[in-house]
Amino acid sequence: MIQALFDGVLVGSVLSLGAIGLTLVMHILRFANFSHAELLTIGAYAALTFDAFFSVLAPPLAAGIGPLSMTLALIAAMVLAMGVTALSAIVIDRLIFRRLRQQAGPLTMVFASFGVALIVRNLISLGFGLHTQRYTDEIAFAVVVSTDPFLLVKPDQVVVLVLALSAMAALYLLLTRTTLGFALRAVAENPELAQVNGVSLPATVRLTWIIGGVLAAAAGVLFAIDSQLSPVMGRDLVLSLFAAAIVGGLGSVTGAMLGGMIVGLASSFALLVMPAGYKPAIPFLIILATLYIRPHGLFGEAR
Amino acid sequence: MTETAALLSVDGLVAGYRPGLPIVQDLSIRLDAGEIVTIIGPNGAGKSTVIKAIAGLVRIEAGRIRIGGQDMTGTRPDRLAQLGVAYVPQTANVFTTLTIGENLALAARRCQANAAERVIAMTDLFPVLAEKRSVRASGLSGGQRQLLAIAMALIAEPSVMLMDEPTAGLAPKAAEEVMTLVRQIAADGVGILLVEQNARLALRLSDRAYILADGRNQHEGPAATLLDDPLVGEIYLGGRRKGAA
Repeated sequence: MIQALFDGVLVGSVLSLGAIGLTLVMHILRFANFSHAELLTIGAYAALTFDAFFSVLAPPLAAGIGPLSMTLALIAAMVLAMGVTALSAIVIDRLIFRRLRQQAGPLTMVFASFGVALIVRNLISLGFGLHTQRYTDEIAFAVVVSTDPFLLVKPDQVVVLVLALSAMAALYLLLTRTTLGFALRAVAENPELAQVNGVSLPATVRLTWIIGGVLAAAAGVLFAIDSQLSPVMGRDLVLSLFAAAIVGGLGSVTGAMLGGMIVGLASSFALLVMPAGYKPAIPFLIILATLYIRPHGLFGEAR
Repeated sequence: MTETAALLSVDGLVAGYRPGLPIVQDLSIRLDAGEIVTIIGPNGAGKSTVIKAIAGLVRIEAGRIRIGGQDMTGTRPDRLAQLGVAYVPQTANVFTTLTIGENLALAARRCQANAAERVIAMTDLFPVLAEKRSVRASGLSGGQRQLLAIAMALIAEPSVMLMDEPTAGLAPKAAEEVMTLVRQIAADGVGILLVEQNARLALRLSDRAYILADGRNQHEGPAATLLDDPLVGEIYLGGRRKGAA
């Protein structure tokens, strides 16, 4: 039970990171972006590339840190991958979504996002191959933290959890303690009023993509550290991200954090009572239950 | 002798929400510092569209908007806000998901260096906002929301204030308080362009007025003259022609 709880929180924290970006984009840019999960893939593969570069250019960085399988090279690569993913998000917006925002409705943008997802997924497959990859072939042995109840934890998982929670805390502080955060929340609520109060809409849109991209890259890398990289990891995660955003309530960052945890925990606990093959159905069930019981989610506002 | 440039001048404005479907047609307005000018007219005349166009929120198809003689046509709303044009919408005029303090801090971003001082100045001016600083704006009454919206507009010390029906939905006492406040703001030298459904109340408050119908100027003149004009009274102020049954 305690093992399922830990695993659920771990997966949930990573899902929360991805869901926060998704919910921000959905609320501020007012469309369901089905290509958001591909930003996780971009981030994960960008980190793989930079990690390889650093490992060649500065071999000392490629040594493991204590009991961790991750290296300083990977941490530096993750930081650069955040930048690359944020830039990718802005470029995709410039090339596709911005034009559609000016000329078409939200439904067109949703369809376009499916197209973007396909393009990104296939470009990554072309560049990196269809096979799964890992950041390191080092085996990180799990440590028995407790025997009764039994709890097995890999040191990497602790780092993943700490990094994910730190990123969420930083974003929460940005949104609730800075005028930049107030501006983001203001644009999400009423873009016209925000503009007449001096908030630049183009700058806010850019900032939204940057935050979404940075968090998606972090989520992608942290997910791949605990699991593995695959060109279809975005496709596999998209439903869970949407479930997290919907449970939390569209537009609510706090909701996305909690939604991610709920989806992660539900998927983890489901393994205790049903075969693993049914696990992908859990986000579906969560979305259905939320839409039936509380359509605006836990923290979303009823419209 | 050259004429002094108006604080705000609108010449031959054609504007609307969709290309080729203008709501405002060939409209001209002049507003000077410290002046209160009202736009009145029937529902659908395009009154709100006029001030939204001046605030940069509606697309302008033709005409010129000048602030202090400088051409500002087509300038983005956030730039106009930074250049001293404040706009108070009729509805949804505060951010209900933000606290009062956050609303004021957001509006004060335009002030840059003295943002904190301006927030304090506004809470001193409106003590009710200071008391409820950490309350979400959704928890305010209609009158308090209007005060917050005006405070957000005033915080950057604007030269032009555009107000869309500031008394709409307010109790008579609250409406009277808002109008008193409008008078005080104008007395401090701010030019106020007002759209008001309550035409009699607005004309009593204003220096001059424009009467709009079908998106065009129909009449203009000193507010007192328009208030006493029987034709204007009959058509726009709910009056009756002498001798009518």
